[in-house]
Amino acid sequence: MIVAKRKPLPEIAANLQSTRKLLIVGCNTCVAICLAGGEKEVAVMGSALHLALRNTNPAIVITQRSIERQCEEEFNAPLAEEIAAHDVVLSMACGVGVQTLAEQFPSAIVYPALNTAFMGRPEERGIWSERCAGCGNCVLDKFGGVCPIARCSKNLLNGPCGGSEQGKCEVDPKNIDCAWQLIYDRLSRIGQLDRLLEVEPPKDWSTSRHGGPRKIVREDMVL
Amino acid sequence: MTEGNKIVLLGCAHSAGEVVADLAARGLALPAHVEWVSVPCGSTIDELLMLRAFESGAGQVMVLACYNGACRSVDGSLWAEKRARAARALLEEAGIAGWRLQFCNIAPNMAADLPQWIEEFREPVVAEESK
Amino acid sequence: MSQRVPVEKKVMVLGDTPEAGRVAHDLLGLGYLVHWVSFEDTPIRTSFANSARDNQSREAELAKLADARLAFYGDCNLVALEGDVGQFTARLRRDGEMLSLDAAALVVATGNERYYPAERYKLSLSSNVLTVSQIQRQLDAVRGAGAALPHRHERILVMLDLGGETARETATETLRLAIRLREEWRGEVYAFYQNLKVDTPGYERLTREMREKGVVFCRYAEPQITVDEKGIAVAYVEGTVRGELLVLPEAVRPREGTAELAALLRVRVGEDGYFQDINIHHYRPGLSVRKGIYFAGRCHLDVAGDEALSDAALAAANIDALLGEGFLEPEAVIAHVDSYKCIRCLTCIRTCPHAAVELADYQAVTDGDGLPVRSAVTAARVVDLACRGCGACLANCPVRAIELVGQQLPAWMLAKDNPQEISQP
Repeated sequence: MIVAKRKPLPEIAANLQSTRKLLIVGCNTCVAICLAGGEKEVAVMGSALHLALRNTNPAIVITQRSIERQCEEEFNAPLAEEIAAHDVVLSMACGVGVQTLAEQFPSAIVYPALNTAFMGRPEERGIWSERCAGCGNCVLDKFGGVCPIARCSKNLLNGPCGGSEQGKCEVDPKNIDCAWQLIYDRLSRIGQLDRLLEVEPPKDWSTSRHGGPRKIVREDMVL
Repeated sequence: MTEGNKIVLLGCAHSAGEVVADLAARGLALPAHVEWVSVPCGSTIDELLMLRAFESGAGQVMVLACYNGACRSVDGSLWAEKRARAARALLEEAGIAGWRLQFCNIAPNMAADLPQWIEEFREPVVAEESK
Repeated sequence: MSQRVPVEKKVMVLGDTPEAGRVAHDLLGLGYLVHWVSFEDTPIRTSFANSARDNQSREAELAKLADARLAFYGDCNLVALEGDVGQFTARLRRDGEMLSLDAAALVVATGNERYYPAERYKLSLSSNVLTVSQIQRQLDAVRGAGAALPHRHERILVMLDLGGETARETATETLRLAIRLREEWRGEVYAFYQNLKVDTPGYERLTREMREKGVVFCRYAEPQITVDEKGIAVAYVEGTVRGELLVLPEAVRPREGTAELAALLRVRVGEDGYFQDINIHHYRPGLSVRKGIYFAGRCHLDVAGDEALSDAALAAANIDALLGEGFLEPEAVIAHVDSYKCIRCLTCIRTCPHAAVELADYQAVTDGDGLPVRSAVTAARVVDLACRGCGACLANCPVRAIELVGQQLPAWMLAKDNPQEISQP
């Protein structure tokens, strides 16, 4: 799922110094699950902003709403009137939600409250780590289900670099596992170590972000 | 809104609650500017509760929970302390001095200590007022 | 709104120890049905007999085995524990077959493990360096066979606290052994100690009896023990004593599989590896973090034999206090999940220290005409009888889907400009 984290409060408050009516909109899907932008965090943000603006903008009125999923126009639509009635919308969704709101209500001023970071999984309650970089050409079959793009700091495709030590990556040995150690261990375990004998050619990044903004169309679903 | 006189005590019923009841039974009510809010356990205390206390006009918030190893739900005091730390960081970001939010462990038999802690907690505010 | 839930007075006891036997015995006496589950292969009669207060009542205890209210299952493997207080279901594997047993409550009395701490003692066992248990077996063998007393006229050196504190269980056994050695072998017995810690019931009386029986006590500062072909030499503060035999108490540790069992039962182990960390509400009374699951004896306490049995009696009493009236009631303030707000993030389930929240299938709700009012949904659900009302779930819920029913919060908790807020009752 998409994992995001709340922006520093001063950065958010900086844009709201002369806002009279603020609408905070939360999203109860990905960002709620990673404890960053659901209804609870919306309430915390509202309270924190009242406190942050108590001297410079004490008259600000803050309305709080949360919806199912901010990347769907149908879920955003009921907010139309309220959006029009407020000066600024602070979206606590991921970057996709923020932009959907902005596209759907082009006259509205929509600011992000979160920094959207990566696609990842929870390791345990409160800890999420990156697993997928959205490269557009999944090769997890070749690497025992461990992604060398998302999990190797250097996106190496043919084995570890010299910075692999005790199964950790030199970039941050405390927090980052060496992906190639993981790949080796996993392929050994499932008896597919011979896959590493195949040389993986340089990655064609055109399917990823580097090829420009992407679009996927299911022709059989579009009339 | 903040920097007011009010001190909010957010306390676990099993420890702080017993202390407050003990003080009341001895005829030692909490000072008028102290608002006592009881929660069932330290685990119930989250950032929202603490922030709203400041929003409602409290100048200071004291979070009270049982000692580690004395919580009926085991982790209550650990949760309360962690959440207080996160709330303090958010308060600092909002420009409110972190010392205005304090976390203390307390046991049910510490009625003698609480009034003193409150007085000490209030000292910086009193000092500021008299400037 | 209190809801009484009737429960069957049926309890499962896990373990093959005298304390497990004592729990079973006491509960049977109180009219409970008992499932006694052992993970070992030993005959249960031994444990049951050992749990009796004194030798005379052993026959009566054994007769109770024929009691129809006791079912014994030996040599089992616990595969899963489902349900909550009032209706636990244990899934066991025995002899390749699966068994399901229901119980309203559980007592874990799996005991501990003995071992010889060679690293701590820095001594290897040999023909003249023996553990307390080994000597006891030799003494028992003599009794039975009527053979000549071995080690007679020998000087026996007994270390009471080598390498630090001895567990209470084995410390007491060592004292009893010293007395027995004087009574049965009549050799000289020297007891060496660094710091005689009298913190077990009966310990002081035993040391007095040892002196009366002629055991010589010697204090040592640092352990200096030499073992060679001539025998054993132990240095103490006033000199050195030579002897023919050295006796050492065993050490104890958590029974193998304790961590795995704890994970299955969703209870905690402490830093020392025994059940339930040191928490003043749980430790002595033998409570776990989960309602309806109790600990008895040496699997959670450092106690000697008699105390383990009285701890077992306490566990049985605790269970009777819980189930005795035939029904269970939820606590006054418990949590409640709004299944429609729940986003199934699993945070509450992961947070709850009492394992009182589960992922559940809520049924669809229809009106009188059979028309759907609310659709079916999978969401978190609080197990009312297991909830302790601590509110950890509520504090962590990212969508504020949980409330503590009956909890009063101040008006300022409701932000004034947010009509969508949940209002607390």
